[in-house]
Amino acid sequence: MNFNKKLYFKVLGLCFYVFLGVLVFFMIIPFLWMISVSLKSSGHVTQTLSALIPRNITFKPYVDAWVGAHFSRYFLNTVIFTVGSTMFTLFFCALGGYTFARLRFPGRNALFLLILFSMMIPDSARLIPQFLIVKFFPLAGGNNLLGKGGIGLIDTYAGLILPFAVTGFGVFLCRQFFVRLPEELRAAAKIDGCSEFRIFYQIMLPLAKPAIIALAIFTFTFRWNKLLWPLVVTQSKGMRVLAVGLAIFQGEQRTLESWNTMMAAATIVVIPMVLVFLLLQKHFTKGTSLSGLKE
Amino acid sequence: MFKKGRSWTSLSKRESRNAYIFLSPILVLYTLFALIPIGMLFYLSFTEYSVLMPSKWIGLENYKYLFLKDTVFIQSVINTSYYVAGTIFPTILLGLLFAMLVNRPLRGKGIIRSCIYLPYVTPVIAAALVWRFLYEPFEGGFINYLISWFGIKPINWLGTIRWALPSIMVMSIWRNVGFSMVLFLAGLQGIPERYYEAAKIDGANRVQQFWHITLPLLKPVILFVLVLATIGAFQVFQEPYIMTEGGPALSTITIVYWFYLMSFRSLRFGRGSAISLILAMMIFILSIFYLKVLKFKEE
Repeated sequence: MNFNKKLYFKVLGLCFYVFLGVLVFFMIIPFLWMISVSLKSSGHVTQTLSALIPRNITFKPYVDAWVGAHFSRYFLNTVIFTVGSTMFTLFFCALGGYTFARLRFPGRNALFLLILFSMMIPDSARLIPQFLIVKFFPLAGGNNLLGKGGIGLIDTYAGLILPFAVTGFGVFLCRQFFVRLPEELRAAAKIDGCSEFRIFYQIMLPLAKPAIIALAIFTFTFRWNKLLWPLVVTQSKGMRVLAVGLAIFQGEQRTLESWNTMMAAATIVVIPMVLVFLLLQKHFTKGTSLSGLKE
Repeated sequence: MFKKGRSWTSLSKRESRNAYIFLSPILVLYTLFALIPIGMLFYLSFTEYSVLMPSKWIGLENYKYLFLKDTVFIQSVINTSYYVAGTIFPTILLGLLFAMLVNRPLRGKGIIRSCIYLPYVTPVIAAALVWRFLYEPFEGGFINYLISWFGIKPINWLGTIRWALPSIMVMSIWRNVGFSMVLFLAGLQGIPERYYEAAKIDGANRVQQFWHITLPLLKPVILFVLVLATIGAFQVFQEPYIMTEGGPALSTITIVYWFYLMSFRSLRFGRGSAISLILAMMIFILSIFYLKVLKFKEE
């Protein structure tokens, strides 16, 4: 009886692991398949699952995508857009979050509510107005003071980055974190004659590291993922980001044989995010739970 | 007394001044790229406007056109609703299931979690392209190869009206399930172990424990995931853009997709604004609805 029960649990446990294994396999098979096909020559693209591990590895698809299809340039643009907008977001949102959490000033609640309210507006709803504002930006890209005559900030890094240099979510996340830090720290620093900005920069900011890292990861991921905004605001080939480049590139390929180059291009888009995720894994999950679940 | 009072006011004045200085970059960018756009959106939705010509006020014409004459818009609303309903519930249920499977002492727990979360960190555009390849109808196409084990003939997944949208939905569920799993895991770990112990002593079985402890305590998390998933799903665009281009026969055209075509291909900014405003309203009303309905039940 006892022996049977033991065996029963062992079999049950084994089944459980097999089930989990199948599950994990299905979650990651698209990645494995992508990498596998990206390492094959055009003639072998149509092989079935049994050829998951390619026999003759070739890096030609990567060369074709990176050099031939200009993905190196798209990569650089994406890094500039993503890192640029993330840095702005981190600094402005941390400073704003601190101000809302710790400083007292008239209109504080009203302004904070305004920022919360704008969090509820979907990105697509802002697309046309943002496009028009960037296009009619005064004194840029041949525009006069009234924003007429030129193309404004269309097709520039500034045009790409500026509308995404702060987010309501970022201000909210930072405020929630700063509110929980002890008020005494600030009082003590004040008595020592510390300026408000130094209190923020040298005392509070280092303490807010978990929130900053979480926000950095979120912002970076969202920006890397962005398609619509870069699609409408960039026009020349030299300004495209990876997402736009990949979308246009795949639209030009219509044969089965080109799937290896497309998969190589997709791998180039995916790899940086996977690396960031694997390196900062702990912060990813922590950040997700920081974002609003607690309190 | 007097001196103390004066120094206090000058201190608080300085604090306000500092606050406004600190907030100035946010306020400028915010006014320019968030507040003014909202006003513009309302205005533009009542006009006929392409960048080339000055805008012309036409009242409710855009809305009338969209609801009464634009069959593609109606189709996009139907498709999007179908997509939202068909993705968020499986995403939430599977996310909860996976969270409960992984939330126990397991060998390789970290790796399993990472594998489930990995799709969520991949850019949609790349994931959509990979899945288009998996759905390819040729002989070695991965999904058709899989179903051939069960004796099912190859199906042209993305090329038939019946299967195109469901195929996209499966891909979206695959991509989002890790996100809801992580949120549910955080929620599960917040439930004190002693609740379950007490229930066990009272003779509650696993199912009863789930219904009477886990589920009620997870309610805030479920609500949170539901709202986030709904907001995300209503704005679906990249998946059909890459996988089907809205076809076949408009069976995968979505609201944001139609908004994009209307605004930036046909350059009808007025009508485009009306579409995006309608979408924003739909999301807003649904979020309020969730918050109200689920809050009431909780009490």
